[in-house]
Formats: sequence, C-alpha cells, structure tokens
Amino acid sequence: MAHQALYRRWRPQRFSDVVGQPYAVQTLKNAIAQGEIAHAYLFAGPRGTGKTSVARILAKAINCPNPQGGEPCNACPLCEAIARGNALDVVEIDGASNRGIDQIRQLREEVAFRPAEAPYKVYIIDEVHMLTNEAFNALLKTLEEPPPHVVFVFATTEPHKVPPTVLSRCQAFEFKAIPQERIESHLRAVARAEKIRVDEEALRAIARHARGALRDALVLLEQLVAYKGGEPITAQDLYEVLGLPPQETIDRFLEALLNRNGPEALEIVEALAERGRDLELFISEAIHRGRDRLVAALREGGDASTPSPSARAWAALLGQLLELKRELRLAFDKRVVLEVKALEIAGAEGPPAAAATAATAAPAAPEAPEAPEALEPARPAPHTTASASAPASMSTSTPPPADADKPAAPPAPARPQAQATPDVERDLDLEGRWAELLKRARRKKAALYALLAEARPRLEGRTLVVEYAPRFGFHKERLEQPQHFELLKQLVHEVFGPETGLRVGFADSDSDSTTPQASAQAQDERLKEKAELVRRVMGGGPRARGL
Amino acid sequence: MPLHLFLGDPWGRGRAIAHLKRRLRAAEPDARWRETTLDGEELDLSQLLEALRTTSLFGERPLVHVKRVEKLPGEHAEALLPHLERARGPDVCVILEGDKLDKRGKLYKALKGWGEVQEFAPPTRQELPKLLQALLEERGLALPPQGRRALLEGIEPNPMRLEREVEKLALYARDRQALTLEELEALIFHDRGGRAFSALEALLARRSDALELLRAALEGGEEPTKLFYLWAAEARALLRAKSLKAEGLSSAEIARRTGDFPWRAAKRVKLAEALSSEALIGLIRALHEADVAIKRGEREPEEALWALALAWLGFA
Repeated sequence: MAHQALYRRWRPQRFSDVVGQPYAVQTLKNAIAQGEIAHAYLFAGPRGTGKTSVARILAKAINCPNPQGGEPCNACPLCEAIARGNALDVVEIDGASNRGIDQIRQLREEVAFRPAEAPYKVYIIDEVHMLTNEAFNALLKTLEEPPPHVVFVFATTEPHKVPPTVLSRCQAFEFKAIPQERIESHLRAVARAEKIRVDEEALRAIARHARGALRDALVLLEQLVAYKGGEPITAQDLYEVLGLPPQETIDRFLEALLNRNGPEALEIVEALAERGRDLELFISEAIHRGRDRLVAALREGGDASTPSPSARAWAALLGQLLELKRELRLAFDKRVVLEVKALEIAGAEGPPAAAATAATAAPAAPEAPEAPEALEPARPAPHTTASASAPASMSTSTPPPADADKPAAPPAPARPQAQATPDVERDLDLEGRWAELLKRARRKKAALYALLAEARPRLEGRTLVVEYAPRFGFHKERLEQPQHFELLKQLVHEVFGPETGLRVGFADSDSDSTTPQASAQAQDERLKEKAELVRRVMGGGPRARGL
Repeated sequence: MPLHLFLGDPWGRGRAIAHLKRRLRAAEPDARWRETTLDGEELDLSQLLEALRTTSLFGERPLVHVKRVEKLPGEHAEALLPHLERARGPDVCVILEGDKLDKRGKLYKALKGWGEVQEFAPPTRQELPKLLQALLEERGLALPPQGRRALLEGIEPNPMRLEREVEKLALYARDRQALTLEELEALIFHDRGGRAFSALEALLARRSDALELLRAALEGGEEPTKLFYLWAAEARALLRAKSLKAEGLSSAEIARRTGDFPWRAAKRVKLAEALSSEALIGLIRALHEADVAIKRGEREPEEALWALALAWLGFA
C-alpha cells in the first residue's frame, strides 16, 4: 500500500476526533441530531485547525443512513466513499484554482440536479475567499434560493474577504488556533500509536512551533521521523530540521542583551552565522520570545501605565529588536548589522537588567553591570521617538533629523567608562557614528546607502576615509560622483561634526580576495576585536558556551 | 392585491414576502399556487409570459416571483408593463423584489399605481437590540445582557447575520435555553474584530492585559492589517465622541448622532475623556506612518503593530 502522510492517516473521521474545536463540533452535532441542517456553512480560521476535516465529517454525518447522535457511522458504503474521497455527491472544489464566474456558473447548473446516491449533495469550497467578485455574485444567486438537497460548506483562512452578502447567508463558525497543550497531547497519542520515539521536550517544541495548527505539528513530526530514521527524536533535531536556533540560544541571546553582555551576544551571532543560520529568522524568533517574556512580566504584576522594572526592560528590548529587524530587512550584510546593533542594544540605556532576568525562569545570567540607568547611551537608541508622556508625538519609525537642512547635533560620544582607553572610545565612536550615518543615508537616498554598505570607515585625524576593497572599484567611482559625494559630505557633517573632512579611497588589501579560510579567519579576528572592545569598556568577559 | 413590489433591506423584504405567501395560502386554503421564481438579471420575457399565461391542468394559480428587479434591462421592464397590467386578476400574484428601483421609471410608477409597494430600511443600531430580543424569543433562548451586547457588537448591523447567529446559538444551547458568556465568546462569529476589539479596547485604555490580548488576537489568526484599520477607526470614533461631548451632548445623544449602540457610545465617551485629543491625533498619525512603512516593505505588519503598541503604552 502506498505511503500515506501522517496527517492524513490521523485526519479525524468523527466529530469526537476533532481536536480543539468543541463549540463548532457540538453545534454541528446538535444540528444534525435535530435535523436542522443549514444550506450553507462558513468555516473560518487559521490553517491546520480542522476546517476541511470538519466539512468532510459534516458531509458524512448528514448523508449517513445510520447516524449516531449526530456522528457518522463510518461503516456504511456512503461514509466510506466520502472518506475515500470518491463519493459522487460530495464535491470538493479548490476556490483558489476555480475562482472564475464560469466555474461557478457550471456549479449552479450542477446543483439543480438531485444527488445520485446520498440525501444531500455537499459542495465543499476550500479557500472560498479566492473567488472573484463575479463568481461570488453568481454564487449568491444559488445561496439565496438553494435547492433543498444542496449543502454548501465554505472554508477560508480570510473570512474578511468573503462578501457580507454571502456571509450573511451562511451559518458561520470560527475555528480557533488549537492550544499548544492540546497539540502536545495529541502528538503524544500519535507517537504512542505509531511507535515513534520522541522525548517530551521535542513534543513541546513541535507543538510550540506549530503555532496552533495541528496539521503543521503532524507534518513536522513526520519530517523528524524521516530525518532520524527510527532513532529517538529530540528537540535539537527539530531545530536542525527547521534551521532554527534552539530556544536556549534565543534565551541566552536575549539575556546577553539585557545584561549588557555584548561579547556573549556577539559570540552567539558568530556561532549562528558559522552554522549558516538565517539571522533574520533568528531575530524573528527572538522577537516572538521577547514578546512572550514581556507578556509574562506584565501578567506578573503592575499596570501598563506603571509597569514593573522587569516588564519595562523586556518592553525596551522588544522595541529594540523590532527596530533591529526592520534594519535587517534592508541590510546587505545582515551579520554586520546584527553585530553592530547587538552591541548598541547591549550598551543602551535601560532599566536594570537584573529585574528582568529575575522575572524569568531563564538560565543563570552573567552578572549585570551596576546601575545601568546611570549610563548614557553610547549612540542614539534604535527607537527614541515615542514618548510615554506625550503620545501625541509618538512614532514608530526612527525620525529624520529635526530639520533636514540644519545639521543635527552629532550623537553623544561613547559613554565615559573608568577603564575605557581613548583608542577604544574612538573606535566605538567611529562604529556608532558610521552606523548612524548609514541609517541616515538609507533614509535620504537608498542608492547612497547601497554604495556605502560595501565600504569601511577609517578616521585619519579629522578626516573620515571611506575605504573600499579593490574589487569594489565601481562603488568607489559612483560614490565619487558629485550627487553622491555631496550628500555624503552633508551627512558626515551632520554625524561627525562640521569640521570633519571626507575622502574616498581604496583599502590597502582586499580581505575578500584571500582564501575562504583566511577570510573566515579575518572575520573571526574582527569579531574577537569587537568582543574585546566591549569587554574592556564594559567589564566582564566572554563566556565559553556552545550552542 | 395581485401585484407587489418589495424594495430595500433584503432581510426585511424577505420576511415580508414570506408573510405575504403565507397569507395568500391561508386566505383560500383550497386554492393552490404554482410558484415560479425568476431572476431579473437573467430574465427571459418568454419565461415570465409562460409562467403567467399557462393554464394549469390542476387549477393551480400562477405566483411569479421576480428577484433582483433592479437588474431588469430597460426594454424588458417596458415590455413587461402590458403583461403586468393584464395580470391583475384575483387568480394571479406577481411579486417583484430588489434592492432599489428608479422611482421616476415607468415600472415603479406603474406598479405603484396598480399594486402595492413596500420599502424596507435596514434596522439601525438603536433598533437591533429589540430585533435580537424578538429573535431570541422565537428560539426560546436567553442571553445575559453582556452577551447580547457582545453579540450585537461582534457582527455587522445586519439582521440576516443576527438571525443566523441566533439560529447557531440556539442549536448549540439545545434544551438549555441559556448560554454563558464564555460559550458566547467562543461561538460568535465576529465580523469586525472580535478578539481584535478586546485587544484594541485594552490598548486604548492602556490596560496591563493589552499586549496579552494583542498576542492572543494575532495568534488566533487575526490579520494585523485589519487590526490597523480597526485601531484607526476606533481612534477616530473616540475623537468624534470627544468632540461631541465637548459640544455638551450626552452619551445617549451621541449614540443617536453617531448611530452607535447606546452602551458603546457611553463606553467611548468615558474612554475618550481619559485621553487628550493630541494623543488620539498622534495615534492616528503614527498608524499612518506605520502603514506607509509596511507598504514600503520596511516592516512586517505584525511587527509594526507591536512597535506601535509598545510606543502607545509608553514603553518605547
């Protein structure tokens, strides 16, 4: 027998098998038991929540000659034919590929005929929101005066795209995302029945990543079975299959940022990049996790107007991660942007990190620096425009300079630290200002930003040297063209001060032209330098911890 | 009266037509009617004539029901007039229905002269609670006052939707005749938000559970872009309530003026009083900026929504 996917083998065949939709199921069972069958149903909800399965069970239950309390018997030829998908009177239509008026006209002609073998002809139209307006209008005519032997079941993930005229003629049900614990327990039952060896942590991780969709959870489980080939499945396997960082890594990254542990954040980014992980996806996961932590911190106490220090810390971090994600979307070199921003966040002013860490059941965090409130931001915070006291001026985007024509005040210099050497301060300052310049360039002219993204800055006395590797000759030439050069000069004056000069040139060596090993080594060196800089400025040290 | 024209709200006219047909059958229990339903958009005049003129072997009287009368092509409408004029005897009934019909047109004028014209306006939000009560009584179902409000707020002010929802609730309740708020919350099919509204309400009031509700709404499949639209609409509604309150209107007067439910108008007035106009205008502006950022591809809608929520709550 041909292999059948796990989610198909475990597709519910009775209303009582349906997971996580008790209200919709009970209503339908009652309707069938009482013989009050509507002529049109609309099942709306996220994918993988049981819409099509319930539609098929409904088709069986209303046609079954021996229904038991609203349930189909699943034993009669009709139930079996419907389950196999070859019943003449149950027609499944994909709304996405049969969306035109002609298909719906054909359907209207067909509905006039009586069912061949069952009491009702059931039309299940999946993704009904994909129908064209004309098709909906044609369908409406049938819905207004449906033949008594016809039942329509529309399934959609986007009910707001269904015209109100159609919606108002349907008995509509919202299929909710299935709670994580229900998915987990269902997976456990499936694993037991299918003799799949999977640990509890893996089940939890699969259920979490399915985000309310049971089908996705079963597909993931089957993927893992194929990946492990009979070996026991662990949570780590899931992360490998999905290309996701383990939850523990995300937690460590978030805590590193909260605890101002820049080196550790860099270490994590480095390890992820070396393993070829998608850094944007990593930040998306971190945002999700940060969101959960913030909600948990808010739930633990306090009002949104007077949140606890822990909630405030998580909220600030979440805001910064959202801004970071925004920048990553447009970044050419996501790793560099992530590293720079991670250092910025780790160095940004905020509420005590210890409070936030204490509010979570996270692994032990490194010692937090004392009195972080006293620190001044090393450079402009990623999102600084919204104000709690003046919501009228709130904005979610980083604002342009107060007056574009007027040079803005240069960002604050690197925060004074007892052990910081002038070189370290200057290097940090250069990086921060360069990042700010890139940000402004991106807002003003995307082309300029694209040219600068391949360059590296260097300070030579009071002159900013924008250097390119020899292979970026085209970039250098374009940057030297007046329209780009003048704008860059203006930005340099805004960010580095009006007295700063500007020069564009080639770097002495092209690290990218070396061997991959040498390139990786150089990259490694750069990261180590950054980590060392942070360590010297902020105290503390990198911790050796694998992913 | 053999000629009837029903115009306006489909639910109102649908009920009236059903009532008329019942009345026809009840008036002469021995008389039998042969019903033919035609669609104005696809009407073939010969079908109509056939339905009107054919003499039934069993003595059935013709009942012709033409839907979507506004879609009748002009030449058909005119050609129809002599036949309608002839079909005015007691043994025939012609029902025409549609959303609207040009009152200066020949068809409307003729039907007005020869028959009965009934027009139905959609019920206002002020009338819907009474309608809900009637529908619940028909089904022998009781809902707590908060549940009724949740139902009315959750769906568009459309009596047909209301009827379908009550029908569904009654099926769920079966013989229990009463439902809890939790059951209602799970059963109501929200046309406009649902969980999104709870989240937005909490956000606007800057409640501590706002972000949790927002997360629940998004994880429950609510569209982030829809949340933007609803949030902006709610901010505008609050601004309007605030300005009407400043003019000295009471909550009840504001409800009448804005066509809102009285309890929701009162709730909005209370919430609006706690917020400054500047804050609300700032919120609308920020929503607009976030919308632009999404359209430029700078942000994912969900992330923009979170950033905005954090800023509004004073975290950013």
